[in-house]
Amino acid sequence: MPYSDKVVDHYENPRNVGSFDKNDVAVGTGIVGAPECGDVMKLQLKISADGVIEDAKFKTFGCGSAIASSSLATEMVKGKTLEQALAIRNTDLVQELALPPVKIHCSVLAEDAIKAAIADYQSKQAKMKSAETLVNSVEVTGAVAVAA
Amino acid sequence: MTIPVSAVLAPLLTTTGYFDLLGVPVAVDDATLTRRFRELSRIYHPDRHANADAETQTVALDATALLNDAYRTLHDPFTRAEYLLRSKGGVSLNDLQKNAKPPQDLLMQVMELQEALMEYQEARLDDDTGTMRRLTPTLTEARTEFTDAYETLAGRLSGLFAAFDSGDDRAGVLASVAEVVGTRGYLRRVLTNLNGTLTDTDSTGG
Repeated sequence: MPYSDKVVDHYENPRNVGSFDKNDVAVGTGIVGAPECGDVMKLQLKISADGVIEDAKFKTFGCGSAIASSSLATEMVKGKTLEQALAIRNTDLVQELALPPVKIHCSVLAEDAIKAAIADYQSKQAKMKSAETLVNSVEVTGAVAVAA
Repeated sequence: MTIPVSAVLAPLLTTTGYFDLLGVPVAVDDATLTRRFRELSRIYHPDRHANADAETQTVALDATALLNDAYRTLHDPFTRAEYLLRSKGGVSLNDLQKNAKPPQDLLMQVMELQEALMEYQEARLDDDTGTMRRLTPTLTEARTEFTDAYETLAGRLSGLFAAFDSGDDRAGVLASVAEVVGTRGYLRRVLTNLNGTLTDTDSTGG
């Protein structure tokens, strides 16, 4: 079955290929895979303090549909809030790329990658907040110690 | 020799599973599996029933096709595992993909390895021998590691097959089988890529 023009376009000119530093607290990284075919997909989101996705990058080792799905996903999430990004469904990708039924799992993978990246970001933020609380209490204790 | 072939063959076609068809346990060893397959194939081979009535000939043909499918499926431990999941666990690979918690460490490792492989392949196109030399040890080590991991998985399966036959905690056993099958896809993909890439180097390196 031939790929649609849109899949070919994303495959030949993938948008937003690359990586962000996965240790950056403003970056959420989602790595997902399809055990059946061994495809792996990494999707990273750079998220502003007010919760808007400023930039997105991906790397996918898989078939044309998997590459096109993740490429399109990075385009779609940019400028969206986390809530809006979480509302993206694989069917949106299927429709836009005209994926045949046998390739629908590629779009599912891209949806999962968005969710995984946001979950990673949120767990990082939560960790940072609890670390901040800890630092604050240490600073207070430290100040007391100096005063003493 | 005349045997009431229809009577003999008919039950075979209604047998529910490949294991029952060949009369073997899930943990059957290779030699026994092959022996059973050959025994049954001899009995049902269409050539033996060339002079039989049309119905018997059809049954012999169907039975032979079924036996071939069964043998091909059970012979490889991974396709046997997939079949076990399908037939006894009601698990399709699709569901497996949806439900299996992806092994994050493995996915990360696979991702990094694929990136290194791509860098290596690009370096080769550019005749960038420095980069190739830098990456070769990593890739060679990875090949050894993943080959070992692949064999370990196959070994884990034979243990799980035996556990399944023992009948204890079948749901737990099937969950482990599903995990092994899921991991295998990634390993196989990376190994294919590694072998394809490194073979070229080996031959040019003499």
